[in-house]
Amino acid sequence: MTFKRILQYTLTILSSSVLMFSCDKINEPFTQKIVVDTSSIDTSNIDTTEFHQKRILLEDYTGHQCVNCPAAAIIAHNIENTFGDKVVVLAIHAGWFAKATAGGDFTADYNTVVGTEWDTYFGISNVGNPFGMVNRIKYTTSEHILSPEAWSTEVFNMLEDTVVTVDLNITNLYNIETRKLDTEIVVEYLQVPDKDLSLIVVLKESGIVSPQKNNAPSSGPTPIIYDYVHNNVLRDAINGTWGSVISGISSVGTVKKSYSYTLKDNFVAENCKVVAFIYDEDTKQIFQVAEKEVIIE
Amino acid sequence: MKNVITLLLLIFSISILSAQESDKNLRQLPQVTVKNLSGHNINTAELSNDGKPMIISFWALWCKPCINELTTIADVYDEWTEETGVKLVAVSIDDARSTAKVAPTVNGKGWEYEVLLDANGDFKRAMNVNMIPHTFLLNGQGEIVWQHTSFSEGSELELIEMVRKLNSGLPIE
Amino acid sequence: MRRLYTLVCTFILITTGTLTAQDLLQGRVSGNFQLDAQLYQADSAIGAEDVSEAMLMNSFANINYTQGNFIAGLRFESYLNPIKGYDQRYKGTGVPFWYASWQKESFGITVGHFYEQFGSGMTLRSYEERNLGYDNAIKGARFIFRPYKGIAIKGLIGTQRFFWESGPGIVRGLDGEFAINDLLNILSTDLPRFTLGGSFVSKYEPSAKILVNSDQILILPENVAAISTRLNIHHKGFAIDGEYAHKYNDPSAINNFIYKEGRSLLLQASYSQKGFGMLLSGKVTDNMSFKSKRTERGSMLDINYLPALTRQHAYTLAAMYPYATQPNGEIALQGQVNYKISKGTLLGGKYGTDIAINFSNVTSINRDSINNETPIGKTGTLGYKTNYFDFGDELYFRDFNIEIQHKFNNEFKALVSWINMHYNIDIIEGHPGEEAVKANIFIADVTYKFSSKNALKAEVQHLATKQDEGNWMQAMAEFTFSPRWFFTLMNQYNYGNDDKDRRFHYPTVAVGYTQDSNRLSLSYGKQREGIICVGGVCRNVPASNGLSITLSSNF
Repeated sequence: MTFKRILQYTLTILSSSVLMFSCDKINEPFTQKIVVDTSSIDTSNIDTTEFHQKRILLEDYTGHQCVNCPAAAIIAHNIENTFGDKVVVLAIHAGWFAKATAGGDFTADYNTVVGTEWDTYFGISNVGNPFGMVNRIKYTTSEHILSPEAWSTEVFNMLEDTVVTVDLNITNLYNIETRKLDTEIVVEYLQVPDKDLSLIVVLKESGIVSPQKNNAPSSGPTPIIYDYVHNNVLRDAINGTWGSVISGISSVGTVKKSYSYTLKDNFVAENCKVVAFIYDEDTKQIFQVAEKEVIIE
Repeated sequence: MKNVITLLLLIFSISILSAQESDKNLRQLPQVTVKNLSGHNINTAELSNDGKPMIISFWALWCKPCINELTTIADVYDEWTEETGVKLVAVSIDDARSTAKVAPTVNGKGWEYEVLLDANGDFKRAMNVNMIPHTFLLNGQGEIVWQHTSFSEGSELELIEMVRKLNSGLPIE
Repeated sequence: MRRLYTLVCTFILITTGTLTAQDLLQGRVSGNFQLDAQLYQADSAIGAEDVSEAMLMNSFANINYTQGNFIAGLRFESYLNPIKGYDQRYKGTGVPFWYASWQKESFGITVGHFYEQFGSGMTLRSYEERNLGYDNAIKGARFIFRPYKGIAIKGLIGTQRFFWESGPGIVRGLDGEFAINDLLNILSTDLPRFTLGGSFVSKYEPSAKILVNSDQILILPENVAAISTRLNIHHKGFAIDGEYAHKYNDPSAINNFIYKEGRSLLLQASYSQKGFGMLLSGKVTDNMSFKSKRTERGSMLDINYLPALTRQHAYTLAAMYPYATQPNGEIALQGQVNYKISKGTLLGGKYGTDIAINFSNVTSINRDSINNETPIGKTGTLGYKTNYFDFGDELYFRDFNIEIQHKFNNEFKALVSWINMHYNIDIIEGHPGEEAVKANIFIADVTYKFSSKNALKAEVQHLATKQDEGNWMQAMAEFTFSPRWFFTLMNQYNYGNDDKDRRFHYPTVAVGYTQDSNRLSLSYGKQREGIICVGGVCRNVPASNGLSITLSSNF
């Protein structure tokens, strides 16, 4: 073969494969509007007992000394705004960046036994902060740890399947004098489960103000946001780290679970909510979640 | 997945058996493309020293003991080649971060080795090198007869001893 | 996935089928093995925590089978559980790497997992750094075609390793390299040697719904391409390497989802002759992170490689503040001179003196906003505007170092080194507001041979800085009884810490035994805590205290 032919030959291969591996050039605008129906369901026409809204648990593993975490909290907040009641957010302060210091700006301690145990089990802060999980899916692989940018896609995907197999309904009774909370969770099986499921009940609090490290000017002042508002902070487990197993379900119907919990002195009851979720103990995948204010006006 | 592994294991076990049967089945250099300092592609299977022993030493600029080893040998390299005819090929596993620094450093130190650049570690992996420095000794037929990892002052004496043994036809280990 | 397994199986069957049993028996098995285990003890002062497993272990073994032109192999890996500082997602045991390949002079194919690099790696590099827990091996197929002397064409397609799984993106690449002198049959070495190359790499990842705010999502490209072209010229002692890469719109977590194109230019020129070598290099990086998963923030799933244009230090205290390329943008310059004062001169002595001087400087790039309303780097916009070689105001890293090595006589040799460093801890480690570390590091390393095979090596290192944790000192003594044994005593002391309660000692004792290519080493002591921030994710490598065992073997 002559040199010229070789060159022609290779150039043909090169140019044809360039065409083959196309590249998508996006032109402005780079964003598009989406409409997620967050309006409350009009109950006048449908039988409320028949309708069950699927809800997703978004866990944001965070820490007040993690400089990238305020940006993640904004992502979580956007998701809350977009999806309304369909998403429940829980911010778990655990790991190295959540440590409380003896003095200085970061004396607040949002660590909890339950949060630390989840964090260790799912290996999240070991990978880094901020990271999170959506309904704790893909746990059996190493892909369950999602960066904040991946959360919304996962929520969209999970909400595409609107079938609810088990639903939760929370009723709270709170005594202001004794700070005792009685919470009742009605677990409604809409299908007979093929295995026993477990129920976890925890308490979260919003509106807690304390300093937070930050490195993104778009998220607030740097390097420290002194009056940072911590929302959806996991405060305590009400029925243990892994909750209680509900066994012996052989038909559709409801099961009632009741728990009592005394709020710690530093919790502001008005800002607290009970969060309950039901999951598969083997895959850790969550099927349904619900939340309810401790004090209902 | 399982099928593939079973199959591979089968092949391996057959050859392990065969390896035990004949000790003479020595490994030769694998076929990997690396670059030399003048930009030529070199097929490692074609490295040779005209029937004389050859040393292949894996090193990197960031590896202190490697530099130590090559500096130590550089002081006696003339004597070694004169006495035994041995050639040392120094394979740098520095990646794109410092491949361009290899030639100035080698020349700056006045080393006279044949230097090869294995920027993505392909030759290193094909030779199963874990840690560097890692030195291989090849006989005149291009068979790997001995290898050694790590360097401490004086271990170059063991290496040249092996070369002498090879030249006088004595068994190695 | 299943299709690939079938492909490999068929491939192995066909290739082995064509071999006779006799051929098979002539194949050769080789491999290596390494085990790292650590037993932990709590030490509350330095922050070393108890490990509930008491012992953690990482290990791997490679097994390769070679028969003529056919090679197959696999790697077994086991992390039970991963050693502290490693990503927990490695937990488990398995065979994450296996391949079969057929190599001929003019043609080669590989199926399964493989590593590859195009040019300097600006558009594609798959590699592993086992000891750092990094591996982005490609799983798929690759061919190499050399139709004519001087031409090499490589093509590949596959997904990248993500712990025990594969990432969601498909990587496709094509690379051509043309040695002009060989093509034109110029054999003369008096003429300069030219090598031209070009690569095309494209990744595919299904679109996603990523919210920008409460009611807007991004319109994402599913196919993102990067192209590069390179030229190498070698002439006697001169060498010039240049590569330019361009990446099309690639919004990702690393660049905060902007749609600007990425680009990178690397230029290196060197000259050397016996006893003298020098190098000048420069590199511009602008929005060049290229990953096969757009939401990946950590260090996994990189398609390309962006090496830092700074010296990689080997001494512990000099390596305390290592630089890492800022993929979103930087301009780096580096120069190096190596000189050997000849033997027999006043300064050269009997054996000569080696001098090496190295300088590197990395700054930000200058960014302008695209219009008055849009802040720089805003998600869902073009991000910013920039010009080539438009140096930014912010200094990321600067390093000036001199190293002098001299052998006095057969028994005694010494190395001294001085390093002056400026380390922007805010940018590199993500500690906002913290003052840049300005450090002066001094190193003296002497070796005394008290017999032809036994030696004592002593090392003193000192790091002086007013920032971060203040001054450090390290002393080490190592006895070697070649070729088998070594004993090391070492202490690191943070004597200049502002916080008097944190002026800790980190002593270590180590012993090692080597026989041929088998090596066992044990070390007992304390390891200081460190923080690594990569791509907007910070990870803490905890302090540790205890016994670590490394066993490595090659067969």
